[in-house]
Amino acid sequence: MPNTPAPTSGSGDFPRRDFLKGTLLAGAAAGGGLGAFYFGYEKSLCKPVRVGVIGTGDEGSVLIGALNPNFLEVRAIADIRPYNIYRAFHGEIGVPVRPGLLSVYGWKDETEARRHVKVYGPWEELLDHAAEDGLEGVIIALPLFLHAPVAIAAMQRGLHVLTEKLMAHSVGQCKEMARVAKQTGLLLATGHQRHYNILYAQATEKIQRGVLGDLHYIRAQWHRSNLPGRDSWQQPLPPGVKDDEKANALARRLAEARKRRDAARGRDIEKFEREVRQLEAQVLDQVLHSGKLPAIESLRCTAAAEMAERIAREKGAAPQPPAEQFGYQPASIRHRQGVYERPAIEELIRWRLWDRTAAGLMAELGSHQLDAASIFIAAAHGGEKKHPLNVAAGAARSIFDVDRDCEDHVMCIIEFPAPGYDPKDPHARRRKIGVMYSSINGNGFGGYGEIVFGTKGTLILEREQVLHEPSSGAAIQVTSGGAGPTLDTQASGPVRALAAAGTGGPVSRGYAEELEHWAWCIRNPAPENQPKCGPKVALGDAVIALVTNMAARQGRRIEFKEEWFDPDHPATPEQDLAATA
Amino acid sequence: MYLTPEERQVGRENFFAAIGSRHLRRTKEKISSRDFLLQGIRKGIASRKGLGSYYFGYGEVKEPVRVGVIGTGDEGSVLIGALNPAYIEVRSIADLRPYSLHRAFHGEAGVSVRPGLLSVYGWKDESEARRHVKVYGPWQELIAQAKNDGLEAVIIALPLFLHAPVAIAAMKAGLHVLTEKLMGHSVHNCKEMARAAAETKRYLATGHQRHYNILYDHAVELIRNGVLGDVHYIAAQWHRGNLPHRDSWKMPLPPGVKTLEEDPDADLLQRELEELQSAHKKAQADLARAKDDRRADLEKTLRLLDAKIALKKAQIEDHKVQAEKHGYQDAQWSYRDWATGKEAVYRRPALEELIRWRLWDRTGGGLMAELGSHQLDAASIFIAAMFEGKKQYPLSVAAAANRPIFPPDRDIEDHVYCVFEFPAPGYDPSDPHASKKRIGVQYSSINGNGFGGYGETVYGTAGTLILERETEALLYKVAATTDKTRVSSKRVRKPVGDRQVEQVQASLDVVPDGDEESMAIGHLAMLEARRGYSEELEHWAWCIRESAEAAKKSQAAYEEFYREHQPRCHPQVALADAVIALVANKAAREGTRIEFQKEWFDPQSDATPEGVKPDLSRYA
Repeated sequence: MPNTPAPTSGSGDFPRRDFLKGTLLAGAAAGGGLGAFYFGYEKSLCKPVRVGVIGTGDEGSVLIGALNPNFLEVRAIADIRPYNIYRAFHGEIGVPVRPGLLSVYGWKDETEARRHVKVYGPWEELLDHAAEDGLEGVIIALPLFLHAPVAIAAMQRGLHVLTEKLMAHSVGQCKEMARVAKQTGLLLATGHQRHYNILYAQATEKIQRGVLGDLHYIRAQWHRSNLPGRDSWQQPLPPGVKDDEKANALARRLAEARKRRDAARGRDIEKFEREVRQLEAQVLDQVLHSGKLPAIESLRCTAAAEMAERIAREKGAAPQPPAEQFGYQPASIRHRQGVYERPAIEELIRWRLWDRTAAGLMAELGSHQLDAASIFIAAAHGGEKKHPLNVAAGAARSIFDVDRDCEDHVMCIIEFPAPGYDPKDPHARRRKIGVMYSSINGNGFGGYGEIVFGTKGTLILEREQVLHEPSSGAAIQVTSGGAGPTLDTQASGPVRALAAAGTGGPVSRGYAEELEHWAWCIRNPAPENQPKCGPKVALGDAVIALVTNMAARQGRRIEFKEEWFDPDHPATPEQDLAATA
Repeated sequence: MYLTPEERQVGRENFFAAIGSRHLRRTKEKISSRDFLLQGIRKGIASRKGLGSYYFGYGEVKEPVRVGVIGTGDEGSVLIGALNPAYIEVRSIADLRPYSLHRAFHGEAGVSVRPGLLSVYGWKDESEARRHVKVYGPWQELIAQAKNDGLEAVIIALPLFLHAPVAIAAMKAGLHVLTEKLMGHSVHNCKEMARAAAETKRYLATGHQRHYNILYDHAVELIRNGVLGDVHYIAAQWHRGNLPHRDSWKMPLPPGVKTLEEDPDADLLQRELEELQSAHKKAQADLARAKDDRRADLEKTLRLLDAKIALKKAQIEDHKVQAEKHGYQDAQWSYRDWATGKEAVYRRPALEELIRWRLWDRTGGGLMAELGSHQLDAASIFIAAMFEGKKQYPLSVAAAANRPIFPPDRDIEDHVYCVFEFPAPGYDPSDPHASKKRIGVQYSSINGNGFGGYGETVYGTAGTLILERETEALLYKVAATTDKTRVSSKRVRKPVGDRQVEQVQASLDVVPDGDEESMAIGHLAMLEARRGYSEELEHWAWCIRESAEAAKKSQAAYEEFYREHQPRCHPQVALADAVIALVANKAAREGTRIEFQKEWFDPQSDATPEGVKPDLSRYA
């Protein structure tokens, strides 16, 4: 709900404020150094950790962009999509958070890059060559349903793992991952980057010091303007897969880009050539559907083209499309107006839309913000992590057509214990902290963020970028943000907001620090050196997101069981609730 | 979530520009919104003259309706302040508390919405007022004397649990009723009230004033014109900064009434009185020494202090009320203070149940009844606009409630949150895909932090509309909070059933300078936009007077008028609002999600969420 803050002035109640202000304005927040200061690790390693990146799509490419070469050396990548192989090296035009390996490591061209980085298709190949490539860890940014099998296989080969969130597709899988990590003694980190965002660290410290009084309510939201025909989760399919407007648009864009390039002069030639190459790479994904290599000109002899050729060669002869041979499935969705045919490649490219491969808004967006809520509530308990008591939820799909499994809107209410909560006392059992969350499509008003309500003050965290304190009158506003539309284009958030961030540079959202700290912990093995989002924390976040989905989809309120949060206990919500559903 | 002052200004201007636009069509009057406002401005609505009749289609009355006001506390005094003497003549009042009776006449010094009868009717003092207004204690007395006093109707602003018995007794005595919201304390109560109204053919209006707020009227027109696109989500809230020892629902008790062994607030009123008296003494001394130029100010201060002292004395007088003789109850419970670990005993005298009736389950209905019901009523109005004005009932509610702030000095919750699902156009429960076509409504009412205040945000695929504090509206093109907009319209072909129908659809265009002409017209027309209490009372009075005129012709003419003209919040609407609020309470307290049953909304059906059958005979 909109509100206007009191005029801002410094309050000086936070010891690190002056330090922060100076450093942030100097732009240091965007780069290295600050994370190390804040999260207690050193600024570089004597020898970077050697890793493979499995999955270099939308999110994998963001992680590549956040890599600090002083901490991590990429030795191998794996992806079955030629487009993703292309993006891993070259990044994405106009998307600064996906700069590509060449830019991150300062390699002049792909040939030089490939002397450092091996390229694999299926994830199994990368793991099979891990010893040969000298890998110590892998970064996993695959569709959600693959997190558990890939992370477990990696750990069984002695590799440390950092996996994108959500930890896994089911609580049972999360627990298996946690158990394997424990057995092998390897580090398993999950990418809830707010654990490494200094604004959250600062907010947490404020809460713990009682600046907000008693925290009693949190409202969080992630509202996006996606609509039919322009949905960031419904990425275009390559031409020839479907006779739909979007796919044709991709072919049209490629033809136009080629024309522009051919007419260009001087430096523009290179610029437009890059656009052609990126679009050709996207078109190359067609091979996963047809088994045939589409006509390309500019991308010959590149890793992306080689991947496409390999797929055509090895998988093209079989009756099923290559995407099916890689484990993705076609489906026919019946509805009143007819049948929506979904080829396997659509399950792969648009994996966020399907229940088998993903877990909807709660997994992709909500889990981050409920993770943040958990962090704040722990601070209200003096730093002691508290699990939620219950969740009630609703879900709806009033905007999009029958072209997906997932919901347009998920709305939920989660209660956590407040200090003094006692389930046995008739009065003290009412001492609870409420968290209300909404993730909607079709209208991005308010963007995304969390508001923390205390008896003495209010904190607003917007887009992981801005911290307002309307009640105390003090505000740390690090970007020029707060005004203007926030149109995120991907799950990883407001790319344009980041790109357009004002003077002083954006606050690091925590990706770089999360990766640095994981690498530092690998290099400095000690019981106390653990990633902040280790298996137990990540399991907790997954339980909240997945049980919320169950509450929304089954239409009931669910009481959380303490055992679900215990990696060593066999109980899981999917088993316990299936019996009573 | 967070709007800068500049963004708020853009939103206000966009709203004014939209309602002042010639591209927006009034669905009721069939003219452009601009022409509607211009005509209204010419007739004087900007100064509030005839505003209600212009918007809500009622006229003046030949003769004011003669009413009694039952309950003149916080809310009753607000209604007295909203009375228009041209429509309503107060002949009697009833309240058990000296404090309430004092406020009925004199209002509350410094609180402009509670001016008191003297101010509203221009009576010079209480003895003049008492020549016009009879004063009763218990509500039964007022109703028993209704004939003698010449009453036609009563306004009820009593604690919630009394709405049903008093409204039904009044209707049985031939009186029309306007009751404060919530309609009743339970769904079976509400159905009993609705049935009594139908049987006695008396008007029964419930005070959900948003039905008479012109901002909401224009908001509905924006939705019906398609300016917001498809509405798919509504977020509403009422956040208040109440804290222990500073709680607007825990009014001070008269001195000497102790609830805890050590009760720091027990002599609060006495202390406040003494402070006022010493301020008074000081002002008097100042006046004695003052030069001429300061005398007027000091005399004003003294008059205000006199009024405040009289008010405080009246409040202290409440100790004389024998609440237990009028159906209020003592109670007592022990608890362990969670912070200190000490055992404590809370003793609640009947007088506290009366004065702080909102805190107790037996007398009140918690946050959902007092606050949430208004806002979910508003959400229902917005959703109905997606269905050409046809009311839609919610499908389900999931809710939670808790008490992290206040100690065990009450029954009710500090916080209630709920998630409702309403049908969206195209919803079909028998189809697995169409059954997901739902509009989500999320609501929170909290204490302990008033950030964000109160209001409703309506999310559509093409626009966002925010109504704040019932007095301000902001409009944006979806998430573009810095963009000025203008309404444009085009003809579109839309499928209706199997045929294509041509319709005019309005939308928001971003324009660098906004739409100044439309904005000026919209702004001028909204200068006097208020919360709707006066119009609610006027329309009710008009229905009563006109129906009485019809009755002079024949009983049949009366019944025809009664069928065709009802207050906007008539029993069926008010019942729906009560079902929504009371079922949300049930879901929150039982920790479940509840699917609404259609029968709960039907006054004729015996089905109720609480499982108690409505039974009018219990009021015999």
